[in-house]
Amino acid sequence: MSRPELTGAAANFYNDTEARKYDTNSRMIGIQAEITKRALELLQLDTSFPNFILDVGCGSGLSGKVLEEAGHYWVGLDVSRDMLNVASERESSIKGDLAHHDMGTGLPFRSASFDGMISISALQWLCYSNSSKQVPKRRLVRFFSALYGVLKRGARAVLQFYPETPEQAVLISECAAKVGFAGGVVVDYPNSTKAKKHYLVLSFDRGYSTPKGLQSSAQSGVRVDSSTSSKRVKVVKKKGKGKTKEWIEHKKDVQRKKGFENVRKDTKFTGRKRKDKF
Amino acid sequence: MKLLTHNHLRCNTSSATTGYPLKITPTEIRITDDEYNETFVKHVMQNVNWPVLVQAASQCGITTLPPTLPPSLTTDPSFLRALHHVLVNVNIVSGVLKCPDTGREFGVKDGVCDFMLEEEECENVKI
Repeated sequence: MSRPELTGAAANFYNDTEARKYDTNSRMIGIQAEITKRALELLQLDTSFPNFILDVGCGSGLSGKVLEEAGHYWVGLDVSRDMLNVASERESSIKGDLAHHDMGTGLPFRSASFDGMISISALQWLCYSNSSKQVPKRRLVRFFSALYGVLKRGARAVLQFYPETPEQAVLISECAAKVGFAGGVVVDYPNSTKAKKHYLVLSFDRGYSTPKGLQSSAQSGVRVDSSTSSKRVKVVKKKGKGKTKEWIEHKKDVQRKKGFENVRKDTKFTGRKRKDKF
Repeated sequence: MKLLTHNHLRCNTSSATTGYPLKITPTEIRITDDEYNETFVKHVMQNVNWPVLVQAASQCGITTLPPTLPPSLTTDPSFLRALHHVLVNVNIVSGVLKCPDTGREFGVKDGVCDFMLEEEECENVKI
């Protein structure tokens, strides 16, 4: 299936018929609910009271339904008015509020408003521009800096997204780090094409380490850390040592963490010297 | 749109200084019946801007809120019940929200507020 992001603006793609299809498709409902549950798990909320949560890219309210079942109150934003119309027809949604809004334009809330934020399958839309005025990187940074403001200190944000390329995941994490967030990308089921899911988990806490992805024998993910990404780390060259086994393994490890898939496996031959006669 | 949400909303265009609070001009208000939840009220109450809530409620025709919040009331069950009602169950179905700084208007239709901005209106960020 081709990517809907390449067909134009989200508001145009999710029109009335598409929104209704989306909302009644049992496969979609199942996947969205599952992702939202996992996002809530990664959010690690204090559940001794109902939380006030922001849902960016709420769509037809499938994720809001899960939030409600967990007892939380929420505010949903979406760029597609048709999706919101479907969401507002949902009878049960009395704990949620909806607003028509484009996440690339910032967030219309005062500071420290929310206990947490989730976003399901929406963030990748910011990587595409649909008019000459839209600069993807500017929209991403604007979104993250607004997010930094509207969350309460100590709150976390979990954004599930579908990166088209590993570079997109890196760009998104870099923009998040630029505004001061700590955290990183958690990849669930990295070896499966269908079940593979990327979650960008953000926190204010400098020392925050992202939870492990599910069923991952080889842990992969891009670490976001503004302290290292903004400053260039000076590499001290050692003389005469050459490419040692440790150097090669480290280099491969970095490549894997960046998300490159065609990195050679580590074997007993890695970094071994060839025989003299060769 | 709930008054709880309104209490957190601001106009985030580049020309607005604070853009808060948005003035409500309601044309239709609906009362829902969300179940009373004491822990939630106690939790959100700490983060509610009280004068803004009093003002917003009066713009929606509710004038029963005290102008300042005495500490004795914060544990009063009947007061908390009433507060939950004002925060969650009073919904603006249609009307207009107006930014106090720029006068920009955000329409509310079918309970959904329109916050779509043009790229020129947005805050400029360094990249």
